[in-house]
Amino acid sequence: MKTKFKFLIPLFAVLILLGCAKQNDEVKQPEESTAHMSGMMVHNAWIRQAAEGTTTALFGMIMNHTEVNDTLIGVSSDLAQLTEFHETYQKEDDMMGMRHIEAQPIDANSSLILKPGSYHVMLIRLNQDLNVGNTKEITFHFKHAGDIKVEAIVKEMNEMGSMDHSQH
Amino acid sequence: MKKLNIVLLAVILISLSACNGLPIEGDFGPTHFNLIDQDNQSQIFPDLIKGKIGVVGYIFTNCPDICPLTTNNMRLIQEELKKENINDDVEFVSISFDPEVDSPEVLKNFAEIRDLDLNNWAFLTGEKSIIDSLIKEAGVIAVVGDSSVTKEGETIYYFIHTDRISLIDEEGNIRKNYLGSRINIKDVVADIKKLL
Ligand SMILES: [Cu+2]
Repeated sequence: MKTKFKFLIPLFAVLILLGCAKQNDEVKQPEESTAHMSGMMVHNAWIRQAAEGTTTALFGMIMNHTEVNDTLIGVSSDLAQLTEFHETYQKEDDMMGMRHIEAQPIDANSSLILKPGSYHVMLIRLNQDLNVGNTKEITFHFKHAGDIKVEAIVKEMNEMGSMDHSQH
Repeated sequence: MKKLNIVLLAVILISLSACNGLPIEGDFGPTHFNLIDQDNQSQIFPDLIKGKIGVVGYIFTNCPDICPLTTNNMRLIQEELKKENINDDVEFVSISFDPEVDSPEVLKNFAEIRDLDLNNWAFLTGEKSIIDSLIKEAGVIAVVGDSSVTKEGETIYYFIHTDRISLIDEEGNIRKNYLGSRINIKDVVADIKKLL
């Protein structure tokens, strides 16, 4: 009896250690039904609320429903002094940074998710307040698909990841 | 075998205490940092927390992504504390590590557009040298990375920075550090309760 359960001790130790380990917080993205879509599009675009003079970001999903490999070559808007495509990246365990991306490939029949902590459109030095509920226009420039105008809604999300579900 | 079991039991006990307890991870040293809040009032950090539990975030307002997430997570913690009637025992502090840009006015706008409840929440800025020594004590790193130049010729710098919210006890000790933008609200509230 005594020896029989000895193996449980190391098992228990391992389980506890696993329980202490950092949680993996990768957010799984929901798969969208794409049957009714065609062409290049930007889906579920939203901008995080921000005050005039500050900087904010736009998120959503770029979907290339064409047979052509394309490239996002820029973004523009009259909401801010500068509009740029950016990526937030992790450096080491707990450091976060951000970089400007001049050209982002969007392959045929693929999509790119713009979300907090990842790809985003930077709106730098806003010339107006962006309040929750406002709808604003911004333009994505693609090498092949050309200019795609997008209506984005201003919101503040509740928790990271949850905004993906609130928009369906 | 017996020895091995004792070692394993010790591992279990140590693991358990690390899971449940909140050991002191550091403090802000003997220095009292003279700073200014969003209303242009002088504040001394960490003294403004003393006697309460502190939830401290580190931000810069030109940050469009990570810092709003961190700030929003602090708001969610505050809302949860209100539900549990323990909000009065906690002080929230957001410290800017970009004081040259983040004036009290900029911080006030940042808070106001988000409709934050500033009754127990201060946004702090101040002299760069003071801020630099404060964040160093906190173990927060903020270095200039990329930048953008606006049409008017203004250069906007983006920091590569530690993504952090710290939990401070009533004595001003740092009891736990979290990834500020990716925090689990319930875990933080549970940790706050352990310190009350
Ligand atoms: Cu950016």
